[in-house]
Amino acid sequence: MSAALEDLGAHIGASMTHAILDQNIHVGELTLTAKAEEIAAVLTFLRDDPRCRFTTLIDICGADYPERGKRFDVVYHLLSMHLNQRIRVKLETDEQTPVPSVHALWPCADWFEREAFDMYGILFSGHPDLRRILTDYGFQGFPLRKEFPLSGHVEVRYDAEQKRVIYEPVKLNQAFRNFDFLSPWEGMTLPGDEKAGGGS
Amino acid sequence: MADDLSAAPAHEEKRTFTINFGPQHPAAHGVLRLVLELDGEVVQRVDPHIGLLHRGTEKLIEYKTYLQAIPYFDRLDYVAPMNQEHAFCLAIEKLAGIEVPRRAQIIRVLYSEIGRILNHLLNVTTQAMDVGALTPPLWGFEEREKLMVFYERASGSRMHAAYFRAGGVHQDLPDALIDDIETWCEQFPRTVDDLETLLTDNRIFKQRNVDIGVVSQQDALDWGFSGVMVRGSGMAWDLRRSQPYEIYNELDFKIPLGKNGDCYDRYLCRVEEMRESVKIMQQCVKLLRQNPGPVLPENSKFAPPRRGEMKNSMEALIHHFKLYTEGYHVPAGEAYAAVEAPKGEFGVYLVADGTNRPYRLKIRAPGFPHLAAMSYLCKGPYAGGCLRRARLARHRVRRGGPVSAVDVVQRQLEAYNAQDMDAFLATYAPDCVIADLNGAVTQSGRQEIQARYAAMFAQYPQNKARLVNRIAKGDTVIDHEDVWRSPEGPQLEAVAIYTVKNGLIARVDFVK
Repeated sequence: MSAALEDLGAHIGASMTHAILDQNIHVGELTLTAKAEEIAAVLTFLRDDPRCRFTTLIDICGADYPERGKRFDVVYHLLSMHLNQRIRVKLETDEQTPVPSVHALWPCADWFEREAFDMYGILFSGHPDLRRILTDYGFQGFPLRKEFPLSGHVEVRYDAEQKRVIYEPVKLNQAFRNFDFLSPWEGMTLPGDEKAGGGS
Repeated sequence: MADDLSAAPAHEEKRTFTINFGPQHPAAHGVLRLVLELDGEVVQRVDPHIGLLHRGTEKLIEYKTYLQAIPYFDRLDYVAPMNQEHAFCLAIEKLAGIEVPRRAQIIRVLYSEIGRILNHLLNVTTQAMDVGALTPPLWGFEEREKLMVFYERASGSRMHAAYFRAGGVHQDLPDALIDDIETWCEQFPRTVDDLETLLTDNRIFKQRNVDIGVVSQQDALDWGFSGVMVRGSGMAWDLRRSQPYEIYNELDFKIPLGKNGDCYDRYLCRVEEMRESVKIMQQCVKLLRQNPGPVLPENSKFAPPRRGEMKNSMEALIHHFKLYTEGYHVPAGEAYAAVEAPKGEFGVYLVADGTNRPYRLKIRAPGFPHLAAMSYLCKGPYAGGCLRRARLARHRVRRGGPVSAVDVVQRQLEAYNAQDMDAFLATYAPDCVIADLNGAVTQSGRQEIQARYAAMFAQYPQNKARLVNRIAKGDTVIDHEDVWRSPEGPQLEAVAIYTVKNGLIARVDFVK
């Protein structure tokens, strides 16, 4: 399995040297990192090359790493039903730089890209209809960004006087508690630990 | 302004209706809103608004430990809850390298198949209800109730089970439960037979499902379909077989395939899958009797210690406390795990940063791409049908809209107006015949048709046909058209009777 993936990775790397920045195999999954501006070319190759034939687009999603310069990952998961293999392609982008849309390759990319835009504000250039898809009408902000609060900014309720549903800033009667259960001792070597490990 | 309006050619005037379907429509019950753009009764555009039930699960999970995140998966699709948990547990196990004890694997497969039957029963019977039959849901829901009791006896809950764990399942099954499941497996196929006597050869059911929502293999690939949506179109793809997990590679079961990719074939697939699931369950029951043992890994950082140990060992007590407060840590990395959920490929993309909580978790629901294809599949046919098809959408697996006789004729008309010869010819059968109503054949075969229309397109480059009325019944579509040779005129009237066979126009009779 792993050898087959290495072969495949080498094949793709050799064919698309200019566009593939990095590749690795972890837990039996092949991940490529591609240049953002080359993504359409890379995915076209993966779809059409006879050794790849990744004809099904499984998923496109974003991921947020705010400490990085280019904070967003866009992650594409592809599947080949013909050759029974999977691949993951990642690229990095930021709030301003649009990623080329791939809706022309797979029409279902339309909605996946809308979702990534809705959740993270990742922009896709050449997208026919980059609207929000999952959040409320008139929603502000990008909920899956790390700085977005879990409680959100507004809450809705039915107002009996106005006889309609109204939006108000979130009021929490009890402060939001984000418990940190992480052990401060985890991963720390204390004097004498080496004896505990060496005994057996 | 007025001058502009009067200068516009009369036949360019077109009024489309925009109507809301849902979220208050009884068929959409709060989860789906479709904005339909209608030209008369013909759907021009569908814009599904799907976020009405979005609950921010992915965000919530980033704030929960791995164990606390499991119950969220039940709520994604409460028709087959454990199948969702399964994908999440597989993703954790993949990253953390946890070995699942054999007995736990068998139990997981058993309950995944129960989930599949739960789902298919709901799907098949309410599909029947959508086209007018009321008895199937009553019969089917009785069986669902029994299955949910099995859920409850294993997990304590009828729906939101939270039963699977990374590394296995929460509790072992009592022997009495295994016996009862076996008894149920013996009687259930009879219920499926009964359902089939009501539906499979039922004329109304067939009228409303055969050739409705045809999905070609290319459509299925382009739109990211999975599960029954690809199998109904004849593609042998099932993750249980092609990328087996747990003990599926040891089990004997068949993958039912459809041929035509329409609603009816998908119905047949689901019925057969229920029968196959029962076979799998029976094999699991047998295996469970042969394989006693733990259902969670022993001496593992990912599973709690036994009660008895906790009474005697301080370390075990500490471990238990740490596991249920801090939770376990999953090594940094990313993994994608998918299961063959009843509705298609349910996948979880998990990014772990080495702490006790997921850094990012993306849920790939099978219904999302299925719904995304809605606009594509529903274009063209009549609004009444759209309501019916949209009704089916709430089960997240779309059964699509028709690519029926009407659709071919509509494509033909559009290609005719666009003077796109290739697309135009593609709607005709190779041996298509064009005739006058008195039976005199004017053209026979694509070549002659091409010759006729190539000459016409050359003579009238601005030729447009506008639909005045359309009657469709089965394979016959009758179009009444105004044909404008040029925007200024002259105008002629044409009535064409199209006969469609196998998705292509086989005969046209013109009444002039």
